[in-house]
Amino acid sequence: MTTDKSSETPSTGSGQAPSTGSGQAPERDKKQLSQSYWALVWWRFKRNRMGIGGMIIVLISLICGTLFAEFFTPYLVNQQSDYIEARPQWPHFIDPDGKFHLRPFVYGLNEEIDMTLHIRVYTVDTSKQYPIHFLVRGVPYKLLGLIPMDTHIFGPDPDDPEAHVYIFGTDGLGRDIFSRIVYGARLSLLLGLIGQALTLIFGATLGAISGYYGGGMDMFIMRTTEFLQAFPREPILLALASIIPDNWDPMWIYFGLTIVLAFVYWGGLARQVRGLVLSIREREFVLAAQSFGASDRRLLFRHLIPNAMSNIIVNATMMIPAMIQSEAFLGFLGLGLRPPLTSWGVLMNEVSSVRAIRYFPWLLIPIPFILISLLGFNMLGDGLRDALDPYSGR
Amino acid sequence: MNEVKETSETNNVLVEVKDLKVQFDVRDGIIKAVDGATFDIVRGRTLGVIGESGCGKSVTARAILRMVPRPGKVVGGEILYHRRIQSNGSEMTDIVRINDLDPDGTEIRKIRGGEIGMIFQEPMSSLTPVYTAGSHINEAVGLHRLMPIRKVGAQMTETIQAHRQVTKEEAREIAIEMLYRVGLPKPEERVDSYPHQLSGGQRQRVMIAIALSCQPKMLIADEPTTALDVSIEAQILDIMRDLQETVDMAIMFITHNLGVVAEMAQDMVVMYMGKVVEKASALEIFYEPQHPYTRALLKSIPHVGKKSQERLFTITGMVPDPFNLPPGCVFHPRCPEYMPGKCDRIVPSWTQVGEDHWTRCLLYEEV
Repeated sequence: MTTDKSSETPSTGSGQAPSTGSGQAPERDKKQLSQSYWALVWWRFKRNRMGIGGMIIVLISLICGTLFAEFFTPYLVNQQSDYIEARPQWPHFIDPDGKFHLRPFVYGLNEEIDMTLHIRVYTVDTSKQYPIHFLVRGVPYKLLGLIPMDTHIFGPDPDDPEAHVYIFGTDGLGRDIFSRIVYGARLSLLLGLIGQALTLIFGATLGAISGYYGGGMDMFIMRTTEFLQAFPREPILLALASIIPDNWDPMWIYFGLTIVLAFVYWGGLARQVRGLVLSIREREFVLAAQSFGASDRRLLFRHLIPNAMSNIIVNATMMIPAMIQSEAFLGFLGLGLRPPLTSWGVLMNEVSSVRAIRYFPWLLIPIPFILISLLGFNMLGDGLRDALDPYSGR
Repeated sequence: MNEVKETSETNNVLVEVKDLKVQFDVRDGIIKAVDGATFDIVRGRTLGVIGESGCGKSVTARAILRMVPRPGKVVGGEILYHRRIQSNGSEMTDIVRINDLDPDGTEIRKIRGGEIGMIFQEPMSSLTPVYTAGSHINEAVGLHRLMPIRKVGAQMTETIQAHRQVTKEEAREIAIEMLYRVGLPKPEERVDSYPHQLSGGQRQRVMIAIALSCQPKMLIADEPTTALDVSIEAQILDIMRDLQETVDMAIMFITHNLGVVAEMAQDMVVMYMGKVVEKASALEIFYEPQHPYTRALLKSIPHVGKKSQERLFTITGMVPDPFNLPPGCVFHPRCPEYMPGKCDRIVPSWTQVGEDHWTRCLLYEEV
């Protein structure tokens, strides 16, 4: 073992012979000896580029969207403007005169009416230039719902009431698409996470109970999951999502949908956990723990589930994108979340007409964002799957 | 159910197993895993249980802790645990019928670990991979030392003794102390080691530390050294003997290794096909074996100094099919002293052949 910190490897050999650590500082020795399971997992995970990439995507989307959406957007989610279905204003660095600006700017838009099609059309007016300001004062908001702030990461010049920056354009109510994508991530990702947490709690617990106790309980739980899995996933999602009453408070609809998703997805996890518990139950440490006087509940939650945790976590991570995708799918059909909530599903619903695709294609911009975040979760899940079994490779 | 009486001077029995019968009801029929096991475990002494694989040694041990694996069931006999209680200066013995306890109840959980500890054959897999050695010990300690101890007073009122929670530092110290006592080098570092960082011998020491951390009255060692190499085996046996002396604990030592049992045990029980065939002190078993099976077992140990040309003695025949046990004495098809017309008809009964020497063989019965 060298003293270089970067070449720190988990010490597998030093556990065998206590003499190996004799010449080293006790501090260092202790660190090597107490390489916990998670330290080994991290050590393996960080060598996996795909996994790290996925983790970065997931972290960025969670931080930008879920936690600090207000800060990372120039406008608030439902802030309307006079620019209806305006085209994206791409940032520029070089003006029509060929002069380079260090500060990016956008051109102003002129509203015109296309009399043949009877639609509003915006043309780029290169005479009007609105520089993009960074960390700029804008609409006041409360960060995390607590801290009052008015700083946005970028935005138009706050002193020019005419200035506006819609880098991905606006929708039918004049709302900034970019802001809505970032805000949409909040509900969509949270829905995936909360839904997956519910799935985890119900699926893992029921699966563990099923595997541990066996008998009639096992029969009942497993037949229930089979019953649920016998239905194709999309129709059952549609059927259940349509049960949620339209006139509910949007927040209740949100939780209703979370429960629907968890209800549809818990079976797979329960079956997997059951299988794991069935195999772990026969291992000797369960018997040993029982012989020390551990109760059934303790065996289940302190010995069986923690040992199945690596598989449970991988399964959960891989299932989050499926939930996010289901939300977008239901939203697209108008059965998911509804305005005034903003989620990726709602954004998909807004683009679900031929008219939108034909004349306002910038409404499709959320799709790559959805895909990238799904990809991120999948990459993270793959990386975890390889890393969470650190004893396998030897 | 429980019987409380004054402790007599002579009665040093800790666990009494009387005619224990355990059956496994499987698809192909009923397996009589234990069929009439009778023996006592005496305080502070070591009982060696020997027999070949599948003869019911481990099932008997697990029956004592009410941990018979499914679909096994205790169908007959009784297991009595003599618990000594101090009350009003006089010592009382509370007799617990273990086979009547709820297998998941609090009473048996108090006995498991708290009063009877157990260590297993396979040290590699007896520790939960996700916890450190220290947290294993602390779990066991937390389960027993911190459980409110019920005191049975003279007026038969139960008072619950309030217990202070052990702090993290204290728990760690207990764990280090236990690891030190089982001879683990550098216990203050090993306490944070995960099972995969420990060798087989170290894991078995940790197992012993866990089992001893609650100061049990008895330790069931189910082939504790079978998976270890000989030098580690010797160390583990030394540790067990030393600890037994210091804490005055009974050991039920299950093995198929006669050398090990000779070293460890004062009393011995020989089992064959679920039946205890002979019970005596270790010296008598080794010097005056009475049952033909015991004699055959002893003859099949290799000796240093034996002529190399000579073949090692083996017991003829095979272990019978558990679904199809031979009639009469189960050992008769393999027995060198088989008496035709007798052994294949009459089931031998439990006969006394010497002072505290019992056997189950028709050679010593008047029939």
